[in-house]
Amino acid sequence: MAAIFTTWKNPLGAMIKAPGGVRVGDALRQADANLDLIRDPCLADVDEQLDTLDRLSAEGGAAPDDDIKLDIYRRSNDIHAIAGVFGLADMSTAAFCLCELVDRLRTKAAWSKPAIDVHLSSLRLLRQPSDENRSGVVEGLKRLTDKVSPLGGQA
Amino acid sequence: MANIDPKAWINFNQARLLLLDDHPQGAGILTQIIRAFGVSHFIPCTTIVEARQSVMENELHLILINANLKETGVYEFVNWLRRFDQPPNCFAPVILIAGHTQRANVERARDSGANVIMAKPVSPSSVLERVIWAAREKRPYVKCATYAGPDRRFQDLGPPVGLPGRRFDDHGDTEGTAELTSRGAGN
Repeated sequence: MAAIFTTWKNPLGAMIKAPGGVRVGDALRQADANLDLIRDPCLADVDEQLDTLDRLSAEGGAAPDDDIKLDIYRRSNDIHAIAGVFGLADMSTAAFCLCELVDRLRTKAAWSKPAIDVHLSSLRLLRQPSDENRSGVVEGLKRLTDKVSPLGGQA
Repeated sequence: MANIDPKAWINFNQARLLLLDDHPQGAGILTQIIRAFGVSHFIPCTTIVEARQSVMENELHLILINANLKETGVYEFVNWLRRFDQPPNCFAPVILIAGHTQRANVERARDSGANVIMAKPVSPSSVLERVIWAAREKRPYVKCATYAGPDRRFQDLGPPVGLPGRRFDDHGDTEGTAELTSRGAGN
């Protein structure tokens, strides 16, 4: 099949330029206000996810089945997505780091409960508000994850 | 915000937007942001089946998709949309919103036919920037055996110097040489 190129007129471009609507600054302020309304339930969900992650790690032990690994991966990804929206940037990055670790371990059909549990403890720590610079915690998690090669094969 | 004048006006009153997200909090965040932008025609979907049905029943101008759906098939959905021969929906800008992406899915995301992949966590300004970017999208659409979606060449620099090119609108050798010369002059 030869490549077919089709040009088209994107109607969205004309729509957003039509008279009326809202000012960008006002829209962004309103979006922040809207997000404040759902902050508490979203962070409550993050706390629930943390509880579930602890339970999954304990249940899975040293050699969890792949369903548990995938569940840990997905819940970490959810924490990464939500925590970062509500000012918990370090926690979000730590959750991303846990996703990366789980992905690397799954690729190798391996597991490291201690490494997972260090991430979970760090997520608990980073969930608490603090004026201290805790970027060192995140850097430590990244170094831990980097000890697992991203390539397949034995760990 | 880096690129958008806060005094500029945006008007989403006529835009019809589909959001595919099965994570309640994630969908809630995007919904709150989008509503603040003045989007009134908004179709939330939590499954791919629902989203397909909505594509068949509504004219859509923008599609936002959580790339980390629990069900599989999100990239196949975008590919289906691009091969769904019913304009304008098959050309509707698609923004894939991705958290961590598993190694096995990185290439699939890139080749899905989405216009842009944006990273989580989102913020109102990052969403608005991407939506405005999508609204300004003018790349032609390409359909071939292995890919359907916006042309992945963001800049038309022509074929590699010395090669004739494979597309009807590729530049010839002369333009390729001129490109090389102008780069050299800049050094």
